[in-house]
Amino acid sequence: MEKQSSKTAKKKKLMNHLTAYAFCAPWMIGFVCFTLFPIAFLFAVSLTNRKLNGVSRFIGLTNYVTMFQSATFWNSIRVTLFFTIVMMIVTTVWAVVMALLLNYRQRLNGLFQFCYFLPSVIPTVALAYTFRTIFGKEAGLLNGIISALTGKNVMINWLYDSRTVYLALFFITLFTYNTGQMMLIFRSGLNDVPRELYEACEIDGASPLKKFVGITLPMISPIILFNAVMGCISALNGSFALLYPLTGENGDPNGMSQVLSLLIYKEAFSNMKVGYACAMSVILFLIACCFGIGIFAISKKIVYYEN
Amino acid sequence: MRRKKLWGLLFLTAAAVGMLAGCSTKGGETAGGAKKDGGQKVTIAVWNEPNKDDALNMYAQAEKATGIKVEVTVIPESDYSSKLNQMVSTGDNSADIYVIWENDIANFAKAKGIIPMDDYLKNSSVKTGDFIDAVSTLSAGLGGTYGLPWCAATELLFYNKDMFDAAGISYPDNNWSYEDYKSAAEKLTQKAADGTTKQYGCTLPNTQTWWAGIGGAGDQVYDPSKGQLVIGDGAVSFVSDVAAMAKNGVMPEPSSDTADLFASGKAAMSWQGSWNIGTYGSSLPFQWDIATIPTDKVKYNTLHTGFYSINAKSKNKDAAFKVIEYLMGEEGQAINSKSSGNPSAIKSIAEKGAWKVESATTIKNWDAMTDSLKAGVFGYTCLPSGVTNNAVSEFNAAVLGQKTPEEAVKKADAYARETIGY
Repeated sequence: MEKQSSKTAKKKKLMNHLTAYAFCAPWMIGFVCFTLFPIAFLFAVSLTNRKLNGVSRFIGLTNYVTMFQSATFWNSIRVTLFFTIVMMIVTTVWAVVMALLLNYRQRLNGLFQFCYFLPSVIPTVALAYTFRTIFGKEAGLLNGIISALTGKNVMINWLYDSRTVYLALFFITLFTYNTGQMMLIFRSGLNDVPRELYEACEIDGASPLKKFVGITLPMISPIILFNAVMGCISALNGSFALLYPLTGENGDPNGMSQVLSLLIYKEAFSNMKVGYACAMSVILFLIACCFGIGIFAISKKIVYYEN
Repeated sequence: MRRKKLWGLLFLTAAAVGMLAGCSTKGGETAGGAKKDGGQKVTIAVWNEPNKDDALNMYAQAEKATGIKVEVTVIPESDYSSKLNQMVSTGDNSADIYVIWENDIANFAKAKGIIPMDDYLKNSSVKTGDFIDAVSTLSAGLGGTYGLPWCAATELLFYNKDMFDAAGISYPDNNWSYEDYKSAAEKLTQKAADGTTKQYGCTLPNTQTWWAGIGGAGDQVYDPSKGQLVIGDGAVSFVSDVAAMAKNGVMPEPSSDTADLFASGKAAMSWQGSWNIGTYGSSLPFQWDIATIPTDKVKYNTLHTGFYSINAKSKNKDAAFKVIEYLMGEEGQAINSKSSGNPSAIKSIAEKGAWKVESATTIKNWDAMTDSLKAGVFGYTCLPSGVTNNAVSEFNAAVLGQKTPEEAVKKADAYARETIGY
């Protein structure tokens, strides 16, 4: 009798497990087919000289050797690291500032939030082309406005001058979907900070800056961590859609904006070197992993969890 | 309960019918593209929209002449080459005819993505012995005739006659030297009181005409025997000239502006492809004409074409060749020339002058086209676009003063060596 009941319990447990696996199966199938297999395939192709027309031969680590000897590749790595770190900082800080402003209780708050978030809904490519027109030298809207305000014929070559290109590019990143999404997440995080903490501070006579540093920042630090990781991945993988229409596959001027995703595209689709591009993609994958691990390592020291 | 079952059965039947309908081919066609009614259909992949005027639409006329339905698949020019490469890679048979570019023909032949047409050509009316020399040279060494040139476009100097008249300068002719060009550009430049340029003497070279300047300055540009980019002193000299002219406001510096300064009446001269004759037609609000690219050390410009070729996976190869035969014939070539302004690559057809676009009424110097054809070579177009675009980007950096012309040329050359021959 006991044996039978234990058998039934085991069967029930097995059924429970199977049910759980069945629920997970659709996602697992998708993950294996559309994530795991492409990653494995990417590694395999990086060891061949595969061209875009399908011609392919195993060449071992030749792609990696060539890549590490290429000045273009090393320039792209420098640009990628710089662009990722600065973009992550700029977008995160901007999103926090916007969320704080929107968190003040005032009239028409919903309208402001809608207006701030609206550009984020525009597809990145369309946004980039719009800004390309705005930042034009001869017929750019921004130069036109500055000329009208100053009474001088201002012709700043925003996207081709090495002194202004980063300023223009990082300004544009403030209007991407990623920044808008961050702002909404910060806003909901700010709403969850207990009011009594602020009230206690006010009784103690703390300044707004002290309240922000002493209460707000620690309380939303897990959200900052989350947004920093997302911003970092978005900068690494998503910057292509923003930069390609703005500065082209060569990352003009003088390769200053040639992030790795642009170089991968150029090698695969303009030079038809798919194997070589896959080797670069492996490096991009490793950089993304390093950034993720690095951010989590730092976060252990600076992120505050209430529980 | 029974009603539920009935609804379930109905739903399943509808889903099954929907799936079957989704898997079927378009009305009246079989998988191979042949129509059920006995007629045939051929699909052609191109990068530009067919002419809207039926009389100037060579594909519509090919359909009438051959009785074969011709469907045109337009792939945007920026992605054209890479899309075709992917189609070859995956054995796609959705297009029976590819119009392929100079830098792809050898690779496609090697990958067996296209077939040699020699057997078809034995009994055909296509005048393969009458192609311009450059085309014959380009096709040599492939081990067969894998493509037939759909036209021979050249590069020309376009100029604004009204601006020349206002400045009291005589019009450019086909014997103009590069020095004549630079001198006229300076005279035609007009500056505002604050020193900014109101009217440029000439436009910045575009991704195509940079190579006309470099070839004219004495560099080989493309070595067909090695398939390599060959630039050196000529490139340094031309890049230095462009940088000096941009610095002096004679030509605009590289920027994100996309406006055509010549068409908008802000620049007096521009080096551009001959296909712009058809684009400008009678639409410009000023008098304009053409001349050959001014001669520096060598008279040089790059020829441009596309090659009609048959997809190796096509199930309609015979029909595809029939359509190509029409397009390469006298009528097809004449329609193409009238529509685009580009001459035929078949000498005897080009001589008849169908390329003299009727709407471009202000052009008097049509000899510029024939002279350009004689001087034209297949140069940078035989190289991967990533290499040539990278070089142009380097040249632009030198024009902006971000590096010296020597550094730019050296870097462009190094990248080409790293990339070509992969």
